[in-house]
Amino acid sequence: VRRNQKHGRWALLFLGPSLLGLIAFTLGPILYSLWAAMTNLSLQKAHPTRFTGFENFGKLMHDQEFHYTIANTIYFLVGAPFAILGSLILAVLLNRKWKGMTAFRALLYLPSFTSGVAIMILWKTLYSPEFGPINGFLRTIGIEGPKWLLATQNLLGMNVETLNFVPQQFGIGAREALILMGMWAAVGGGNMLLYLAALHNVPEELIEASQLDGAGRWASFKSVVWPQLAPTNFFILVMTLIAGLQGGFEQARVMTQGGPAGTTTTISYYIYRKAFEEFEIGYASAISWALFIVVFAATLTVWKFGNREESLA
Amino acid sequence: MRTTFLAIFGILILLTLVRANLVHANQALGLVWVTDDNPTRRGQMDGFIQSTGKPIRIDPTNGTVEKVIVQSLGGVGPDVFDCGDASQLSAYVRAGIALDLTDELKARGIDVERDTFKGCMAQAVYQGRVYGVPTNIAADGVWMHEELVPKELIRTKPRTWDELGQLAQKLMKRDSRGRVTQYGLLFEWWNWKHFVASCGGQVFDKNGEKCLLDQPNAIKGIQVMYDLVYKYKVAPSPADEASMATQGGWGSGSISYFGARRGAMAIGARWWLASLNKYPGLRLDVMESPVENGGAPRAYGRATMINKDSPRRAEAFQFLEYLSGRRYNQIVDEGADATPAFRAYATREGTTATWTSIAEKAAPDVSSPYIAGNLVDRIITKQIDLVKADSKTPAEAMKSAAAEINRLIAEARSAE
Repeated sequence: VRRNQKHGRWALLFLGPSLLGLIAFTLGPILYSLWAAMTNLSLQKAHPTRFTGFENFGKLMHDQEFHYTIANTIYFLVGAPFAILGSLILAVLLNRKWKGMTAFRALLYLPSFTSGVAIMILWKTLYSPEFGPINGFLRTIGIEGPKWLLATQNLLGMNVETLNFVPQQFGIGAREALILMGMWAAVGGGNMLLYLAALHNVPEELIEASQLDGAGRWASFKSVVWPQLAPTNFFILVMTLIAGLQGGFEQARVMTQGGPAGTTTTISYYIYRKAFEEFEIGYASAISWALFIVVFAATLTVWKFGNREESLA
Repeated sequence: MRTTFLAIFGILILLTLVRANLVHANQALGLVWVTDDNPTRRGQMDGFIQSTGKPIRIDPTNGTVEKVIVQSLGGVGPDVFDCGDASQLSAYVRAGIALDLTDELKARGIDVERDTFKGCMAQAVYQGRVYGVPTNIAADGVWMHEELVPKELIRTKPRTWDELGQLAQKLMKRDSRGRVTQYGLLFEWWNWKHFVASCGGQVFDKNGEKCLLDQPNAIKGIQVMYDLVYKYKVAPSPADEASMATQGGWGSGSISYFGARRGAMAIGARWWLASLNKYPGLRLDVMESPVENGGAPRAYGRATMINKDSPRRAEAFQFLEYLSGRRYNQIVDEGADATPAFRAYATREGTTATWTSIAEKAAPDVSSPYIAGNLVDRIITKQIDLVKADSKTPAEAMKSAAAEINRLIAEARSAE
């Protein structure tokens, strides 16, 4: 017992710095933000801080701008299934034993190594309506391209200042531009690697057995490979959902400043603006907790149904 | 194993001590000045170092308001920092990081309100107290390329925006395919405050209790910008402007375009020269920007403030003394870093006389103590985005902006 106690003390000594870090830099800020969410805390010292209870959460219910940013965030998630599908197709293609495949894999993964800001600046130039190569190409085939990052239009016809739909707003605009860029970056990224690893783990004998039984490539993929990918699909789905709900900050900060007219302001960028541009730390904390609850609920839902699908598979 | 862990633990503690020592050594490097990396800044710092023997360095990467405030509140802020306009000043003061300089400056014989241009007050004086020493003043005029604007066209200077629009139309040039090779007049939409002020409009009333953007003169200012693009078609469309903005570098796309002679005239200030100097063979002239309905050009510029928690307060005051003195103001004047803020040092000869005259007439912004400047800018920018996209008329947009700002002011006042 004495030896165990001695070991315990040593363990505590070595774990101490790490535990202190966890308390100071993770647990502490979480609790602080919870407290801040229930106050009118502001970086402007002219406002004395007072406890406001759930007032900030009540304000969220009536904040039309916040509702608009939720709609924007959900809109940006539209690209996620396509990006996941693209990653899967790419992984299947790269899972062949062809010459030079390693080089291809490295090439397709390259955007993930490159600085996000550099990529965004590059895409900003590509999207330039007058001088950008995308519209330049479209012009050569007789199409007048959209104004991309400058346009408020979208494929649902979502209005600019209110959450309703109007035909004048139907078209391609800044949201679609960011979705396309996001898909380009995601297709060859981490999801592709996860799928590649999962495909490597599918036992070859199962595929061979199915083919001996007369299954074609598609039937073999659908009945043998796809069920084996279920855990990876589930993981990617959950991670994409979390990243999507928390995303959009870098693009807004570097490319659009949340514009035009707020059409690319996502929840995370709105939190930043409220906290560090308008200095409403209390309200921004409340939005962060609301976001956490939404992400948690969405993840639980996916977990529940995803797990069921996985066990069925 | 235990010995290895202990050794790692010891090394980590040693590294912490070394780092703490480095921070201490870093503090000995002297004043940290948050300002932009203007090409003339080096000479301005050298002037201080030579006259006081005290070291100073600039930190251009942390220049945004939110960075200055958050870092200062966290105890790692700069010693001195620049403030660019009324909304920034209100943010710094309300955040409690700007030191009230009123009494100390008076004791040192520096009278900001008496000795600087009235246009400097917006970024230096807040509710009657002095928080900054103005370090330059800028107000926009009309830049012209002498060889692209025939003298006979400007024998009678345009007095209204309509007249300037018509003049600019005569200066447009297109290639055989109809593509613009030379714009008549370059300007940028973010500069909307100049147009509002020059048309006699105001953002707030004098106490900052009411937003006046829905008043006819303010609407006229936004209408002028819209007309220059869509009616007279003499300025780049928002799409062209976006292409210009992606070019990057110090200064904006309009300066590059103007420097490359892609515009015959441009709305800009004297500080443009710091960038235009790199374009060889430019022959430039300037005339005053049109003003209507009793308006005036909008004054802006920089004022330098002291961080309330700076450990080098004495050196910081020495720096402010230097900024208000002859040597610094002459460097500003010679380097064309806008116009010296202290009236006595502003040149009144040649082309520079026009800039000094513009600075004299320029009016400061009014801020509201009831609403954060950043929030005001965001609301207005959103509405101007809609005007740019031709989705709203200037009148509709400014009425929406004023309504929202006034609602927020009313909420803040009732909460008080």
